[in-house]
Amino acid sequence: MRLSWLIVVPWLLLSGGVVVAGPQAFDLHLDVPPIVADSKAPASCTVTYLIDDTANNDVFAERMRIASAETDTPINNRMPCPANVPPRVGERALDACQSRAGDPKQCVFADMARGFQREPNIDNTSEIASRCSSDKFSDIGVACWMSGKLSVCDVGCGNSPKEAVAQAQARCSEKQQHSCPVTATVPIPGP
Amino acid sequence: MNPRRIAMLLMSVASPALMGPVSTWPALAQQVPATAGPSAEPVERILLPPPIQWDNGMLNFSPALPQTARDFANLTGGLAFGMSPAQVNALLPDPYPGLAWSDLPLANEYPGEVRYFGVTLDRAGPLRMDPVGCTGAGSYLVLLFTSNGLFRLSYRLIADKNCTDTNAAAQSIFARFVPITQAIAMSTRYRTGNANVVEVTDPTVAYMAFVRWRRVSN
Repeated sequence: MRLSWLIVVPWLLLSGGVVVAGPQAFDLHLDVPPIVADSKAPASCTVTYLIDDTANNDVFAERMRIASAETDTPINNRMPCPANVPPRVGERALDACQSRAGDPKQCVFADMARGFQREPNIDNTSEIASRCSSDKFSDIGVACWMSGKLSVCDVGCGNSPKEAVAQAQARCSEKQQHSCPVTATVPIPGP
Repeated sequence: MNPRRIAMLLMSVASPALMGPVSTWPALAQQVPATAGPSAEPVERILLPPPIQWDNGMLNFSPALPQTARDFANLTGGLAFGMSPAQVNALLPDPYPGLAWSDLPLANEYPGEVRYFGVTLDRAGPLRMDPVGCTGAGSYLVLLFTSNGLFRLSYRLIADKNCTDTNAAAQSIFARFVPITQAIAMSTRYRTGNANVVEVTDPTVAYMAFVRWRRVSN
């Protein structure tokens, strides 16, 4: 009995090892499945900021995509955006301008206070009013008047490019006490 | 005009140390037609940097879109940082004959050994970037190299009597590069004298990004 075990057990171990150690089929046909975009999936949250380089009137639309929580549910096929966006997100939006500008101090939020042309610095701009969220709006617009070579602007949100520009022009006219004919708009999630 | 002579003329105006007034190369100026004047449409251009992805707590972020050097190459007609002067020259529609590293002049404003050659915008092929608005007859593109190859494109749009403001053209060139992440190509824009400058720099030599061209004459 004991002798037979001494023969059988090593045979089992060795034969198993031979089977396992045989040539492996490395091509397991585990092809990566193609990524299929779900066109009916609700749009994820994007918060878009407009930032202005006052040195040359460049306006940047910095799009911040914010991941949804597992408990979030879409409303009107749009994922909700956070009610409060911390300042660091706005600071990162500014960085998109500052890293590309000749003078980073010239980068400001694009929604400007009345009298901005006299003191063109970031303290005379509004971070909150310079952003639009995709859960409520589809487009962000800017409307400006020219004070010499400086664009003095305000920002508006809308559910069409026309509405976003109209909101920006209304805000600009009210705040700046000027007509604001220089306008532009982009979709909040990006083109 | 002989292409080698054009290259030499461009080299002579590209470096601040060597730069003379634009009128020293009137023959070149005549070859660059002024494009249409500023658009009458009162619409600003909005520039689109690549989007950023935040986590749900808005604590961490990363690029929302993966980009590679291929995106930069697709934009520039096959250009890549690190190419030799001869390789870049070969991409131009009208290459300079026999252009070699040792023949290129030094760009003294940079640390280390930096050499360059220039090309008028109309001879820049896909690197022209088809600007909107007038560019000024004396505007040109400078390509800068270290011994490791190309590290910077410098568009220098210089106003003249027929094009008193090149800002719109510079902005439209800049707009083409802004969607490329700064990790692939660092784009910057500034003004010096009566020139608008757009520079696109290899991020692996980011310290070079802070070296600016200074226009010493108008």
